[in-house]
Amino acid sequence: MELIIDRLTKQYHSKIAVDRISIKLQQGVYGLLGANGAGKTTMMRLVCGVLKPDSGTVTLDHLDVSTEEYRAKIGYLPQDFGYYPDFTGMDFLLYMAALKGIKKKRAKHRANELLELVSLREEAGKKIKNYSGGMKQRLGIAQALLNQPQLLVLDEPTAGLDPKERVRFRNLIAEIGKENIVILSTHIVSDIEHIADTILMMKDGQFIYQGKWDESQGDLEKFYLKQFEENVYE
Amino acid sequence: MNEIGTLYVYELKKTFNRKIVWIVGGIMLLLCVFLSLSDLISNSTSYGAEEVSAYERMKINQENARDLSGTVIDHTLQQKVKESTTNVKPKSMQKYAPIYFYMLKIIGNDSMTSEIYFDKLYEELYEEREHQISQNRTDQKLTEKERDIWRNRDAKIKTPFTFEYTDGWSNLWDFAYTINYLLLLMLSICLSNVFSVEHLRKTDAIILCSKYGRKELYFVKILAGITFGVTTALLFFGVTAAASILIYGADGFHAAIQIAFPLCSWNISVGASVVILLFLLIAVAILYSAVIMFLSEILKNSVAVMAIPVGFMILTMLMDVPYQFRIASQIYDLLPTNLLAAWELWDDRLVSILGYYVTNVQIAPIVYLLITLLTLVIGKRIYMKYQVGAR
Repeated sequence: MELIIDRLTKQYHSKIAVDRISIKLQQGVYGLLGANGAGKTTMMRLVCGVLKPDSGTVTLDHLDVSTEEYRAKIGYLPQDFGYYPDFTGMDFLLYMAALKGIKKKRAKHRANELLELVSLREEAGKKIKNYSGGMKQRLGIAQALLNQPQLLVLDEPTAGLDPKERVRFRNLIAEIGKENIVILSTHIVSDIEHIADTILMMKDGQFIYQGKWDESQGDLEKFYLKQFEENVYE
Repeated sequence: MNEIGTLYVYELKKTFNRKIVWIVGGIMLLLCVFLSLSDLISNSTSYGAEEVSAYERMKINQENARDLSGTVIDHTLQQKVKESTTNVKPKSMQKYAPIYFYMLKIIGNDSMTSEIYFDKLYEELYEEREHQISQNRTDQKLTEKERDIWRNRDAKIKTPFTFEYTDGWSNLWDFAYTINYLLLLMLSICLSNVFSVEHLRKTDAIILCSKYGRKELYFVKILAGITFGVTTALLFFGVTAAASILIYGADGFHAAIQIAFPLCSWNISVGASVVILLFLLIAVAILYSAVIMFLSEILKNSVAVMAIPVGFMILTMLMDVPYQFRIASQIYDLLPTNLLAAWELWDDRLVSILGYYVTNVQIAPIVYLLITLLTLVIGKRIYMKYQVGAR
C-alpha cells in the first residue's frame, strides 16, 4: 500500500497554500504539524479529493484521487465535521455507510461495532442535536472508520475529546496505523508525539521537517514552537 | 445497489425531518380543502328572486342541475328557459337556472347582457357560441392556417350539447391556478435546501470524498426531490378533488367539456380534461422540483433559492402580456405559473412542430421535460466540479 503525492500545488489567489509537495507514504501513522495557515487542511482536502489541485497528483496504489475506487478506500474526518441534527447517531452512520457503498446488513453490523468502540452505543437512538461536542467528534471518528479505510485522514481529530477519550483514541489510531496509512493533523504536539511513526511539519505550504522523531533529538514541542516563533518573527 | 435505495430513503428523510415541511404542508392542504368551501361561506345571495345562503344556493342549483342532467340543450329547452325567466314564480326560474347560467357563460359577462341580446341567444345559442369563439380567435391573432385546423376540429364536436351537472370536476380547472401557486410555494420552501444544506451543515466534505458521494448521490437527491414534488402535487390535487367531489358530487365525468366551458373547442369529456390537468400538474411539479434543486446547488443558500420562485410567482401574478404581441404572449403563457388556468381551455393559439400543430397545453410538458433535463445536466456538472475550499 502506497500513497504517492507528487508535486502537489494549490494556490488561493495570491497565497500558495500547498507548494509543490512530494512524498510517498506507506503503512503507519503520519503526524502533520503546523501553525494555522500552514496548509495542513488544504493538503488533507487535496488528499481526500474534495479539493482539486492546481497541479500535481495524488494516487493510492496507482488509483487517482478523482476515482470512485480511490474514494472507496479512504476515511476522512474534516476539521469542521458536519452532521444532520435531526438524524440519530445510528441513522447518520447508516447513511454514511450507504454513501461508502457498504451493504445494508454489513452496514448495520459495522455501525453497531463502531458505536460500541466510540462509546456511543447507548446514545445511538438519540438525535445528534442532543449530543455534546465530544460525542459529535466521536461520531465523526466512527463515520471515518466505517469502510475500514486503507487511508485514514483525520483533521484535528482530538478536538473536543476529554483526556480519557484522547488516550483511547490514540490507541485506536496506533492500531489502525499498523496496517493502513493514517494522516493525522493537530495542534497538540503530545498527541502526535505518542502515536505518530513519522512527523510531517508544515510551514508556508511546504514540509520543513519529515521523518521519525526520537527523544535523542530533543523535545518535539520545543522544536515545533521554535519553527512557529521563527514564522512569527519573519 | 441496495445502498442507493438506502440513500434515497435517507434523502427523503432529510426533507421530511424538517418541521417546516409538515407545518407548511398542513396549511397548504387546508387551503386546498378551503378552495371548495370558499364559495359556500358568503352570507346570502340571490338565486332567482329568493335570498338564500350560498350553501343553500349551491344545493338548490345542484338539485336542479341533476334534474336537468341528460337534457339536450336545444331550441325547446332554450324556450323553456326564456319562459321561466319571464315567469314571476321564483321556483320556475330556479328550475332552469343551471341552463340560464350556462348561457351566461357563453356570453362571458352578464353585465353586458341586454334583453335583446338574450332573446337572440335563446334563438341562436350555438351560433352565438361560434361567434364568441371566432371573436376569441381574432383576439388571439390566429393565422388562417390555425383557423382552418380549428374549423376541422370544431366540425367533430357534436351539437346540440347534452346538459350534465359537472361542478365537482370542472371546479378543478377553476382551482388549478391556486393549486399551482400553492405547489410552487410548498416546493420552494421544502426543496430549497436539498443541496444547500450540505454546504450549510458542512457535510459536503465527508459526502464528496465517499464512494457514492458524487454522481450517485446527485441523482439520488434529484430523484428524491422529484418524488417529493410529484407526491405533493398528487396530494394537493387529490385533496382538492376529494373536497370538491364531496361537496359538489362526482356527476358529469363523461359530459362534453363544452358543458363546463362552452368556449372550449377540445373534443373531450370533462373527466378527460381533468386527467389532462392532473398530468400537467405532475409535469409542472417535476419542472419546479428540478429548477428549485438546481438553484439550491448553484446558490448554496436556501433563502436565496426561495426568493427566486416567490419573486417569479408574484411577477407572473401581476403581469400579463397581451395577445397582440403574439409570440411573446404565447411564450409567456407557456410559463408553468400561467399554464394551469381554465382560460387555457379556450386558448386556440397553436405551435407548429415539424408540420404538426399543437396547443400550449400539448407542447408544455415536452418543453418542461427539456428544461428539466437541461437543469439536471448543468446541475450535475456544477455538483461534480464542486470543491470544498476555505470556509
